[in-house]
Amino acid sequence: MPSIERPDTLKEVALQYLRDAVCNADAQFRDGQWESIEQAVKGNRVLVVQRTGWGKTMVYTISTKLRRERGAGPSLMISPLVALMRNQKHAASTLGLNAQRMTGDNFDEWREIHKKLIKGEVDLLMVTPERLANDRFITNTLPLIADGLGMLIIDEAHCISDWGHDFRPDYQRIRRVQEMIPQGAAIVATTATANNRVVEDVRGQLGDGIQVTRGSLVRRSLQLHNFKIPEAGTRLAWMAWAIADHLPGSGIIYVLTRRDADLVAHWLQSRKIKAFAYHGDSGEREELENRLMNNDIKVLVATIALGMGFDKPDLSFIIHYQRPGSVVHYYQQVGRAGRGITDAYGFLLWGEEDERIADYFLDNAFPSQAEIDEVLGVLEETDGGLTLKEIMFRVNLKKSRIEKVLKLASLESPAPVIYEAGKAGAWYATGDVYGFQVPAERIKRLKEIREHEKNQMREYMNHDGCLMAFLQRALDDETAQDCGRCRNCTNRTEKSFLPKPEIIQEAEKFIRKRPIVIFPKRKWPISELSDHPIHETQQILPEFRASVGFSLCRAFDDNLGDEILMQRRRRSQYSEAVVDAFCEALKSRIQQEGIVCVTYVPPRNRRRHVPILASALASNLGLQLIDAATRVKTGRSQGDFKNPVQRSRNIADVFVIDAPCKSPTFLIDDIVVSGWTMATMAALLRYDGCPKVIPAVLVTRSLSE
Amino acid sequence: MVWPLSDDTNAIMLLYGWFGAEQQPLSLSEYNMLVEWLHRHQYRPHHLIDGVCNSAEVADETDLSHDRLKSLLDRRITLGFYLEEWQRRGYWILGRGDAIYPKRIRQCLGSQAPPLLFGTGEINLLDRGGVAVIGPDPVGQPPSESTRTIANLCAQHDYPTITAGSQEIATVTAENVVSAGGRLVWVLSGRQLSKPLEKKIRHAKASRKIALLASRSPADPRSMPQEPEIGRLLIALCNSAVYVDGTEFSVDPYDFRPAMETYQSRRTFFVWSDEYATRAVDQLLKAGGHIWKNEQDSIAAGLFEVNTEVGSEARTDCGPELESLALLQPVDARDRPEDQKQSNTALENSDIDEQTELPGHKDPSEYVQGELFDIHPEISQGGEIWKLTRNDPGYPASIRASMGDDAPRLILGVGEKNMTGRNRLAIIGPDSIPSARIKKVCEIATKLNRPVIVVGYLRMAREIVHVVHKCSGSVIWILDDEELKLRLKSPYQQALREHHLIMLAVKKSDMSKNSGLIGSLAVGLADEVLYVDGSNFGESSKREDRFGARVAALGRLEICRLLYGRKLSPEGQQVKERGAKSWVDEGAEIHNSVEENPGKYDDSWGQVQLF
Repeated sequence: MPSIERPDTLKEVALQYLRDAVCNADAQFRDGQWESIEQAVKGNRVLVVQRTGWGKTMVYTISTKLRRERGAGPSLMISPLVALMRNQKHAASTLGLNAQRMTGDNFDEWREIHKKLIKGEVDLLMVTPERLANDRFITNTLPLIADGLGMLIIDEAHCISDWGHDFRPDYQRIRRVQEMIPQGAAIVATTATANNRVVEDVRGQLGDGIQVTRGSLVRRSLQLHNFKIPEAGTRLAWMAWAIADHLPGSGIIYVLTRRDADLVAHWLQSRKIKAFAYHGDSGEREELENRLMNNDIKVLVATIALGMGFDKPDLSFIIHYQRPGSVVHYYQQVGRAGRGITDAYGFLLWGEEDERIADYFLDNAFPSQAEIDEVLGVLEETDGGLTLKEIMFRVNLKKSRIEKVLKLASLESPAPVIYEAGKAGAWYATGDVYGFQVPAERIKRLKEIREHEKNQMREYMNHDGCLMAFLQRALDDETAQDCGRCRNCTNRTEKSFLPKPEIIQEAEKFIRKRPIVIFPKRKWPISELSDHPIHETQQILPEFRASVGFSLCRAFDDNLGDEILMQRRRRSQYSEAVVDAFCEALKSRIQQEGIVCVTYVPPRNRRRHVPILASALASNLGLQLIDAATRVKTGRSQGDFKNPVQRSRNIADVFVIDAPCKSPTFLIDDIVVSGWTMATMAALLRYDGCPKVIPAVLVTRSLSE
Repeated sequence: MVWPLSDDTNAIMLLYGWFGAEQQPLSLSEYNMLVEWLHRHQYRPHHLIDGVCNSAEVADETDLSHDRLKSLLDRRITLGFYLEEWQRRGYWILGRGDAIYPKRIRQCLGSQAPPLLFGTGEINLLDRGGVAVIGPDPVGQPPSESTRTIANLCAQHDYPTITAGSQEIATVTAENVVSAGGRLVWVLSGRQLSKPLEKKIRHAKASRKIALLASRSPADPRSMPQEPEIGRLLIALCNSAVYVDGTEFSVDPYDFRPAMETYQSRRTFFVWSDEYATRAVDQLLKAGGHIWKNEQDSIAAGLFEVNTEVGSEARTDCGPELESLALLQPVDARDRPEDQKQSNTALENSDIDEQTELPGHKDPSEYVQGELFDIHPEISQGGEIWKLTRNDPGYPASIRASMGDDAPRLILGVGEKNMTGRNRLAIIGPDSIPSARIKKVCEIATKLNRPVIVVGYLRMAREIVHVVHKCSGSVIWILDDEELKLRLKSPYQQALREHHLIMLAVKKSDMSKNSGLIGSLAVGLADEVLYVDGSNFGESSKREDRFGARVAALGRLEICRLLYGRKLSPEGQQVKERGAKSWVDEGAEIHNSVEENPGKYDDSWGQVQLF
């Protein structure tokens, strides 16, 4: 433990660091800030519950600085927020600390970071809970820190409580880690969003003698507004109108799905607004953050991937395109705005799909006992280990469900399964727990919490009192009182004016006409799916790949999609209107792509929808119809299979090409879900000499739908 | 309940546990030294993390440095991560202070009992005894047939089978035991513990019929073959052992055979061999082992005899608090002397046996094999180096007796191999000994025809070699293998030619495991140890204290003398407090010490009487 100087001296040093960090020679500690730092430096445990922007970062960066100066090892910060880490790194550097982050998006820097760790040059190491849960962190990174870790910082500490609104499986391990740490080690846990129950839970887990600092959660600069706008088109139109004409500065629009992020961003771009989508699939997320920081972007349309840690003091508005899962999530997200300015806005819009999406997330959050039995069963019966793909080969469950089972089971202690990172990386049964039971009680409790949160969110949307006070009370903030600024307090509704009808029409048209692209597959899920040369390598060779295809519409997205699905179920063939719409969509491609033929995916049963559709297209578009393929095995419906390994295996040896297309062709099907049938057919056609295959389908449907 | 770990075990983990390669925790002897200190002050290990006592106090009175202890104890957060990981993997960890720590290991191994045990599976199997099935690699006959027989026998009698390591005999034994539905204890290295289990073993684990055990942590980076504690643990755990014979070229990576020899009086040993028995088997049979003839004979000879030496009756006379203190003790009057006595007897017997040429066997030097016994070409360049392995009859019995299992496996030498001499005097001390004092000591020793032993390549050592050679005396100079290159330098070449110098060396790889190895060797070889005090200044305190501690650890304080000038340095004071007889009139004392012990020492290395 570092030797402690006289408190006054230490406090003066710490205050100077604070002033250096915030570039303000008159800065003073906030209530509780110095006390928390002092305890951390002494090697005690501290829980800081303060609103975002209060200065929690200063507590652990200054503590780290002081402890390092006294010979302690580097601090380890666990945070789920990669965006926050980037800001933290900068904040730490103002104190002369060398902060490094090891996250999934900077693998190429890890080797260098390891070297710095060996040399003792790293002061603050930041990792995500997922990284920490990865065994390689324990085997590869932790041993490099010769002096041992000097301090543990648990950001978003509410996650270690089962009563928290934010259940993150990997935090279970962090909870156990901190329980295992003997007394006398400095631990700083921080959160902005914990109610009394969570605070008590976390306090109990951190042990006796913990210092708790808790403050008011009110954010005075924020004006909160709620609008119910059920239709997606109207919401898009409202946002375009508000952002272009009424909202100064830059902001963030939160959406629930990646698809919506792309949709909203493209729509705003079409309205000449500098908007970009930010989600798990977006490349260059760091660059997007930097551009927003530099006000080079008007608005980022983000999923929760742009987490709570993003810190831009002059962010002037947050819009929620759909309602978040809980009031706490909402408070966290809207709290990004107005940290360093006097006026900022938070708009919560909600639509008709919100309830469905919320239910979907709730229903799919945990695996069932049957799923657990199935996955663990194959591992228990295997002598060695199995890779994820090998499990997918044996178990007919969606990849995400299998991953959920493995995650849940591997985080138990003792765990019935473990992951051994190696060349292939495989899962093994441990023999420690046979007949692993789903933690029913915990799941029940978590579901109840989420149900409660959903209801509370609904209450908030219909609340006619002060909105800020509602949020504070939801978090057991005893200082809650009317803010005098929100929509309900001021009765100001001018920002709720709806945009002109023509903008709404344009938005609706934008949703309908948005191109739906089918990207070609580049790799089979596993190798050696069949004896056919197209399966010789796991990579789908470029000469066997389909071209970029397209779909007329998306299931459940608009009326046409619903109509097509209805016709598919009830009629023997598609209506003329559908065929005409499809012809219209294909027409422009014929010239563009030099298409000469039309062929189709042979149906599995006697239903003739697709051959008739292909024939009608050929006849209407003046193309040659080729019955290229025969189905030599009936096989089972692709719908029976839930993951890509099973689906591609089911379809691997079903088709035989008996009339090769020697010219560019459309490959027609009525519905595409995972795309493996299209990929297999295209590869077979191309193997038999077809120069170009363009998949064209009526409707796409995602697996979750 | 093993989890959460007891406070003491947490402290032992911090001090003794390996978490990767970057920081070296305490060695067993260092840890024992610390325990001795804790005992002296009536502390327990967890007091070091609770702040009841601190590392500075320890450093003041032992050879352990404050910085090192503090740095080890500061690994608390790192420890938390490892413990969580190990608990998740289903391991348990036992500290020597835990009541559940296997009594038979503690009793059998005394201070050599691992301070920490790591394992998985059924913990209660560890104190049930059993039949050990062991052998070198490769074994002499197909092991599956013989191990299947034993596995079935053990399963029929509901008697645990114990095996060790990862070579064929162990894996085949484990497979057979599990197939026969028997109970198995498998002693492994720490890293092997973390390997995923095969289906059969997993099922046995689920049926609580298997325990996997390691004395090193799964994060211990040290190489696997250097784990003599595996052999010791296995013998401690069993009541009887069946040694399946190897070939002349077999390797015994876990030192089963030395462990068997050490504990042969307390265990029933069987040897399974074909008609061409190896030298190892001959030795085991001579040490009291039975040749395996058939199942019934073996049962009659005590294959399933329950060893009453260990068990619940142990230490029932002391209360729980006292008992747990006893568990912490390194070697005390109850444990070690008996072990030592028996082991000494065994060694003495075996020394005598080894003096006789075994019929039909090759020259012992031909048994030297494997990397362990290789000399680096750069060192051997120029020839003249001879080797002694622990199996060689010429290996100094005094070293084996005083160092036990820590005795170097290989001693390299230059000069007279069978040097005769008596009243060997080891001169140890810091590098800051005034030259005049060194000169005086050497001159007196030479005058009395006493060979002088000196270690290392510091100024003091070189000066002693120089002075003794100049006075035409004899000196034994103990170095590491790389330093043997000094023999090629002209002053030493001359001393070697004139038979005034013998150079001995141990391999650096051995020294990495035991940093005080050459010092211990000197103390082991000596008939008298003279600690020559240095000045009151300089930075040599740690080295000085180590020598004192080593003499104490080897139990040779009665032959230790202290020589100092007008003032005693703090380090010299420590040596004095350890019990070394202090003396100022050096000439008289050295002379007297020789006169007091006429005829005590024999002239040849192999027959030196010790203790």
